[in-house]
Parts: sequence; structure tokens; C-alpha cells
Amino acid sequence: MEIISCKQLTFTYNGSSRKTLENVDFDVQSGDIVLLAGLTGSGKSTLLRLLKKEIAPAGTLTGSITVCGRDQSEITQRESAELIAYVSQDPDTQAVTHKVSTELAFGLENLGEKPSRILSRVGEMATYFGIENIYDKLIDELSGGEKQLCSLCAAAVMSSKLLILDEPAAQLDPIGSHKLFSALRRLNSELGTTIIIAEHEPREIFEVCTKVIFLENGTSRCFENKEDFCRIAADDAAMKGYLPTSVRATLPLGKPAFTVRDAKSALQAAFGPQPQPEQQAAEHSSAQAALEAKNVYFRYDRGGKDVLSQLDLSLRKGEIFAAVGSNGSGKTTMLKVLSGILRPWQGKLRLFSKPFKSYKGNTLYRGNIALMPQDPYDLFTQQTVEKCFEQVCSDMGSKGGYSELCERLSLSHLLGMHPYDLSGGEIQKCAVVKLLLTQPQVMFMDEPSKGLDPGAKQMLGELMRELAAQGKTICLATHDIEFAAKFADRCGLFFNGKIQSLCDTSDFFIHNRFYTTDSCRIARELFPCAVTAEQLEDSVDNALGR
Amino acid sequence: MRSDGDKMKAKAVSLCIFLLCIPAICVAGIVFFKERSISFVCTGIVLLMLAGYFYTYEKKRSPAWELVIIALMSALSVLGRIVFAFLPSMKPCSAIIILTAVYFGRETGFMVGAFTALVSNFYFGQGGWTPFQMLAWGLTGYFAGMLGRWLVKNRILLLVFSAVIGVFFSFTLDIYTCLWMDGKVILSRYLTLIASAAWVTASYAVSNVVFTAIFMEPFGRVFRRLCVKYDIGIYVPEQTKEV
Amino acid sequence: MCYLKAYDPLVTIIYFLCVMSVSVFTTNPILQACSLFAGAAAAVFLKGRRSIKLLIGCTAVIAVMGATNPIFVHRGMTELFKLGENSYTLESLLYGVSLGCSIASLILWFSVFNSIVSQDDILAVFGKHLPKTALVISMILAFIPKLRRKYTDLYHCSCGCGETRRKDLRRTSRLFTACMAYEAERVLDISMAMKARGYGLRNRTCAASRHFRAADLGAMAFILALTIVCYVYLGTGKLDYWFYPRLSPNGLCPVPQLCFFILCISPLFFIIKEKLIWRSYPANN
Repeated sequence: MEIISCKQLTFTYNGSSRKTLENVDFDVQSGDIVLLAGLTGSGKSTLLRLLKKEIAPAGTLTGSITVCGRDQSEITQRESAELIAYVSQDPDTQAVTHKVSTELAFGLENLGEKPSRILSRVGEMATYFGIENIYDKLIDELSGGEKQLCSLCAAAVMSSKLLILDEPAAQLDPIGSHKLFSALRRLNSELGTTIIIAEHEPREIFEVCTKVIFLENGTSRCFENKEDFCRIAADDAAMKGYLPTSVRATLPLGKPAFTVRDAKSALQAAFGPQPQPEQQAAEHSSAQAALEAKNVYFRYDRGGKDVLSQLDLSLRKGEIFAAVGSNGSGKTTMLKVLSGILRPWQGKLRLFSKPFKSYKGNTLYRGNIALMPQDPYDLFTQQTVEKCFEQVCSDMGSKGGYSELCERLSLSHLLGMHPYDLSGGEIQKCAVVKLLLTQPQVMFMDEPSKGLDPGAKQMLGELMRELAAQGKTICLATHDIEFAAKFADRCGLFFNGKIQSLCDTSDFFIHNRFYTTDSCRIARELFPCAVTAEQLEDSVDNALGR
Repeated sequence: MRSDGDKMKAKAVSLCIFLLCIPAICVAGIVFFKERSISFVCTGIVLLMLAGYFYTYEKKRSPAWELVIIALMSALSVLGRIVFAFLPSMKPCSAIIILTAVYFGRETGFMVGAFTALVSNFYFGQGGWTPFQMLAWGLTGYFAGMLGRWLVKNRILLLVFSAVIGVFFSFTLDIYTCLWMDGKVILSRYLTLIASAAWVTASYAVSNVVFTAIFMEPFGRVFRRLCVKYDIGIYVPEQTKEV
Repeated sequence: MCYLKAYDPLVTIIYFLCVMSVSVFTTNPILQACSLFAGAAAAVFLKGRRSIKLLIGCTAVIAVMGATNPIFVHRGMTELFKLGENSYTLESLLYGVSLGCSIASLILWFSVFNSIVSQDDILAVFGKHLPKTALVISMILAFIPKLRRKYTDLYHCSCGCGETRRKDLRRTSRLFTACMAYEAERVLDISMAMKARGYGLRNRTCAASRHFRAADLGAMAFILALTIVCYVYLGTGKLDYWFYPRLSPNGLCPVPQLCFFILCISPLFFIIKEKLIWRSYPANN
């Protein structure tokens, strides 16, 4: 049965001349899982929101959207609330009330169900999703993953036929997103819910999705099965980023494998044991230490638990160091302590072998240290990007100077815009520029790759490399393992208040079993040096060529 | 049809409150509590007025954005109490309520005021003052909303208004304190109270003026932006008149 | 405490309204003493050692009110001494003490109220009768911690890119407005999520996990009956008491005073019963 179909859909935002969507055509059958891929700004969110009338953006729409065989305009608000559920990217803009229990009941209360029925439905769904343990909690106390699971559960309580998700896992760590996706799979396989999902990292969902729609500049390309998509994407730079590592590794062999397990056996069947290349010893051990932390302890209040305990860390000049670890483990706190914003209650911090205290006034943050927050929008408190830059310049006592930097990063057209109107990738770049204006030697970055599309991630990584080459030290905290594997020089696992197993990136990922990249998991036995998807691809190509 | 019925019912109930319940409370107070009848009557009237207002608001249909704006601005004025705690006796609550009311109308203003008092007392402890505070801040918002059309265009007027309403707020709470202490208004005691609370009154007025002046521009800008971006139906003039 | 919570919050709230209304607005010393005693006992049982501060505060209020009232009011026949031109009278002193008692009992009962009736209870009562109001309160409670966290983040950020750490009015208000601007947009996204989930349809209900049971009805009837007895006697003037010009000779009227005493100490019954239950709880043995 057809759930939703779009014919010749064209959409223009109010006050804009550009068509955000142009002649988009697709249909979704009952029980499908549809992956909607496309770069940021390609109109994914617009398309998803157009599918639900109540949240459709303001603009002119031509073409038709049919829901369950009826035109969208004929659907009443009640039917729409029951039929289609929507979960967006940001867990914080989903929850309406302050407690999980009231949040789950909110939708059914709106529909005017009887209280006893609401309670039984909510209880049933909370059990199904395994979130009884958080049922009585305040939403504010939940982790990002739990919040997103709660909003998914609140959507599922309405027993909708169609679930629309707009990058639901963009803000989550691997564990949180895994839980979310397994809940989604269960909804689909056990309740037959149709799912349309936009996602930048389709690793988890790619295996089960039945259809792929790729949006590029507002036009859509619809692939009826994912094998077609894999074949075409392999030769298309823009689409390639959306393929999971297992597919990229096995495509040269002819048949794409969608899971680590399948890819592993396919590779093992194709190649015998490979000659082990000599590992080159790392050379940069002689570099000067930029920042040292010795025996640092930190807690938020006197009676609280130590968030950092016995933390020892030494950052070398000109390196990119990545601390990986799950959400809520205290990575953000660590960065704030290392950058001197929060004071440890015990331990020593030195920058260029001078203790932090000897940097009087604000000199620590002028020309020495800069911290990029998890939410780059936090750096922009003025109405336009330019005003923010001007403010930093005046604080620093320098005049202008940002125009050249903006020119180089091709940001000049964004200067006059309101910061909140920029996309995730753009604001991230602007934030880097703002920090660079303080001429820092050491930069701390908190989850810089969060919510970025593959292209933007690549660009950010290259920018970081360039800065490191200029002698700046970069320390990032991230849960994005692939990103860390690709761009960091050294990695460490942040766990239990300290950095564990600090070593070179390739060693780090090769030696980890679970906390590692897909490439390592697939090719640990065959190509032990292939840490990133690109390296694995090259290795496979080389092996085939031989 | 239904909505008309609801409206009629709500109107009938609020009329009922004003015409029947309030006189009834007065009579009851005089009959039951002779010595302290005035404080009983005052408390009763305050509670009834709040109940009536909340009831009519409950029956009105309001769009989702209005609810979230009310919630946001109330939360913000509670936060303001915490954030500006380092300045002694300067509280931005009234200024935030006034500005919200000026842009979003008197009903929103009243609700923001009343909720600010109610919810901030969740944190600072409920007491007999809660209903009085709710009404006083609610009325602050109500009056600001009523005069909103003029206030939004004229800065000076807005600042004067916020100073006056600060004094009004302080005097209302003084009357309340006086009522509790004596069970009636004894002029000499009231004057002593006002004199001893002069510093508080002045700080209310000053902080209202200061915070209104500070927040006027940025709040107006944010509301204008919301108006354009989210298409919410409020009237926000392009630019306040420069004086 | 948990035992009292087994009742519908509406019953608890009405109980407090009844007790407070009688004890605060009456001038009858015996009623006031009942309320003061029961309030103090409940506070001690509920809060243990933390109630000492409260009791000291209440005593201070009574003392101050008693001592200062004759300075403002010079009525009364029994002059204790002259204060300037005016007389400092016994009646006025006692009237002050009576006022102090009503304020003190109000303070005590509110502290008992705050430790028995939680945020959720208030919300549950609102939710049943004023669902929209309850929704808004719930949203406010959700926004406050969010705003607070955002403000802290903004503050840390501004420190981290070269600004001063000083807290001054200008900087704080800039961060405060930035916080408002940021959250305002997100909050409107929430309003979108509300619409997507069907907000605005007719006949919104409110799913409360509590129901009004027979026990609630019984407790309510008990409370109201006792209160009505008190009010009837108050209305007929049997409980009238006056201080000026001379202390009134009557004021004793056993029936309503006994009723009010029972009303006041009824929570104590539950509090003590619960303590005993937990002391000999089978699971402990």
C-alpha cells in the first residue's frame, strides 16, 4: 500500500527566488525504510517538513503530495497527528514538558483520549522501548540519547503509520545512536511502521533500508534498491561519503556487503593472508610540549564526584590530539579545565612550561588558548557575524584583519548574516575564524564534527591540518571515531576521569577492539594498517591490482 | 459554534466571579472574622481574581507559539533573578514582563507576570505572598499590555511607565504586608512601612528603568526576527522612535 | 509523609487552605494556640533537626510583634508605663502577640505545606482542572534548567575568547539577551513539535495517574465538616474575642475549639503512624 507519494514537487521559500526543491518525485510503500541522503542545504529538511502539513515551512508549493491515497489538503489535523509522526535533529527542541511521563502522554492528551487509555498505551510503549527506568525522571536529567529515545517513544505512542526523522542521530554518540536505530528497526520489523529518515552517517540504517533518495541542489534521484545506489555512488564524489565503510571496501569485489561481518568474510574469501608492511616509527616525539597537565582533579561541587581524577596529559606543539569517549563521560569538562575556564581543585597546568597563574588578566585567552564550544552558535552573541568579529578585534586591540582570513576561507558572503541563519558547516567555519582572531597557540575544540555532512567534515579536518602545520596545537574531544581516525595525530580514550591508552592514531585504533573504526574491524587480519575507509579502499585496490 | 459557547461560558463565569463571589467574600469576611475581616476579604478577592483570569484564559484557544513564548519569558525572568543576583536588589523580572506585554499584548503579559511569581516561588518557597505577588506582577503585565500601543513607539514613555509601575508594585506589596501585620490598614504603621521600604521601592523603580532601557532594543530585535522567521502573528513596529 | 501523599493532592491543598484560613483570620487565642501548637509539632516531626531554626524564627516574630505593637497603637486600659507622651498598654501588647501568633502559624503551616505538597502535586491539581495552565507551568519548569545551562555555556565561551571575567551589568545583560535570542528560536521549534503532535485539537484531556478515591472523599468530608463547624460558630459570634479597650472575658467555646484542634492535629496522626509502621516494618526483620 502506498503511504505517501510526491509528484513534481517544487517549492520556493517566501522571499526567495531560488527553488529549494524542484520536480521531486518519489513514492513510499507501507513498511519501507527510506534513506534520504544529501548535503546540508540540499533541501532535505524542507522536503521532510513539507510531508507533514502542520510543520510545513511557509512558501509556494506546486505539484502534489498524496497521503494514503488522498491529497494532503484533505487530511484533517487530527488524522495528520495520528498518521504521521516527526522527530527532528535536536533532542532539546522535541520535548514539550519537563517530565518523561507527561511528555509521553502529551500527544494522546491532544487527541483527547481517555486518561486510563493514555496511561495504558504509554506504559506499554515505555516497556517496549525499555525506558521504564527513566519514566519518572525529569527530561533535563537525561542524556542526549535518552532524550531522543524518549521523543521517538512519544511519537510511537501515537501509533502512527509513518515516522519521519530528520537526522535523529546527529547529536548522539555511537552508543546512543545504536540504541536509537535498533529501536527504529524494531518499530519497522515488528509493528510495520514506515520510516523516512535523513541521515549523514547511514552506517546503522543502511543495512535495513529499502530505498534511497538522493537530493542534490533540490532535485531528487530515487534508487529503488540500495545496490543501485552503491554502484552509482561509487563513482560520484558527493554521494560516496554516504556509503558505509563495509560497502566501500567490498565494492571493488563486485558485490557490496552491508555489514561488518559480511564485508569481513567477503574480503577474507577474496584475499589470502597479506604481507605485513613494516610499520614506521613515529618521529615527532622530540617536539616541544605546548600544554601540560599533571595530576589534575576537578569536581563541580564540594560533595560531588570527581569528573577528572589524576589526569595527566601533555600536548605537543603542532599536533592534533583527539580525546574520544562517550557522551557524558566528562570530555567537555576536561576541555574547559584544560583551557583554564574551570579551575581544578588539585593539580598543575602549564602552558609553554609556565603555570596558568602566571598569565595575568586575560592574556591566557589572548594569543594563547582558545576554546571552541560544543555549540558553535554560543560564540556569536551579536546580530551579525561581522559584528562578532569586530568585537574580538577590538578586544584584542587589533583593527580589522578578519577580512583576509574570511577571504581565504571563502566566508566573506556570510559576514552580514545573522549567525542563527547559518548552517552547521558555515557556523563551524565562522567559529574557527573567530577563535583564530585571538591568535591562539593552543585550540581546544569540543565535538567539532557534530552534525556536519561528509563534505563539511572533510573541509574542517583539512583546515585543522593546515593550522597544525602552522605550529598550532589542536586538542579535540569527539565521539566521532572516523573523524578522529582521519585527522588526529594522536588519540586517547577518555574514561573514568582520565586519558587512557594515549598513543598514535593508527596504533590506537588497531589495538582497540570495540572502540575503533569499521575499517579496523573489517580488515584487522588482512590489512592491519588500514584505519580509515580511504586507506582500506586503497589497500583493497592495491591487493586487487597485484 | 463550540468556541462561541465556550467563550460565553467563560464570560458568564468571570462575570459571576466579579458580581457574586466578590461581594459574597466581603460579607463573609465581615460576618466571620470581625477583627481581621479586611485581610480575609483582600486575600479572597485576590484569589478570586486570579481564578477568574486563569479560568477565562483556560477557555480561550491560544496557538502553540503563544504558550511557548509565555513559558519562555516566565522562565527567563526566573533566570534573571538568579543571573543578576550579584547586583544587590536589582531584579529584571518586571522589565521582562513589561517588554513581553508591550509586544505580545495584555493577556500574555498578565500570564507571564502571574507565572513568574508562581514558579519562582517553587524555588524560593511558597507563602502567603504568592497570590499577591502573582496579581501584582500580573497587573504589571496587564497595564503594560494595555498601553502597549503607545509605549512601543516612545522610549521615554516606556521608561517612565516602568518606573511608575515599580512604585505601584512596591506599594501593593506594602499594603499586603500591612494587612498581614495589623489585619487592617493603620495609616501610621503603613507610612512607617513605606518609609522603611523606601529603599526597596526606589530600587524597584530604578531596576525597572535600567533593565527596560537595556533590554528594550535587543528584545524588540529578537521579537521582530521571530515574527519574520516563524510567521507568528504579532504586531511589532519596524523601529522604536529614536528620541 | 508518604502516607499523607496517598491522598489526592487536592485534599491536601484544601486541608491547608482550611487550617490556614481559620488560624490566620481569627483572633480567638485558643484557636490560635491550637494551630500554632499543631503546626510546630508537624514541622518538628517532618523536618527533625532542621525545624529548630524555624521555631526560633517564629518565636522571634511573636516577640517582636508583641513588643512593637504598643508603640504604634495606644488603645487599651491597663497602662504598663509611659512611652514619651503615649501609654504602653498590656492590651496592645497582647494584641501584638496574637498578631505574631497568626503570622508564626502561617509560617509554620507553609513550611509544612512545602514539605508535603510537591511541585508535581500542584501540577496534578492544575492539570485536572486547568490543563493549559499545567502545561505552561510544566514548560516553564523544563525551560529554566535549559536556560541556565545555556547561560553558563555562553559565559564560559565569552571568557574563552578573550573577554574579561568580570561580572558587570553590561556584559551580563549582553549574555542574558543572547541567551534569550538563542532560546527564543529553539522554543518556537518546540511549538512546531507541539503542532506536529496534535496540539490545538479540541477537547484536550489530561492523563493524571491519580484518581479521586473513596478514601479521598472521606478525608475531604472530614476536613470540610470540621471546618464548617468552626465557621458556623465564627459566624454566630461565639468565638469573638477582643482586646480593646479591655480583654474580652469570653472566648471559650469547647465544641468548635475541639473540632479545630482535631483538624489541626490530624496530619500528626498519619505522621506518627507512619513512623511506627516503618519501625516495625516486616521487611526490616
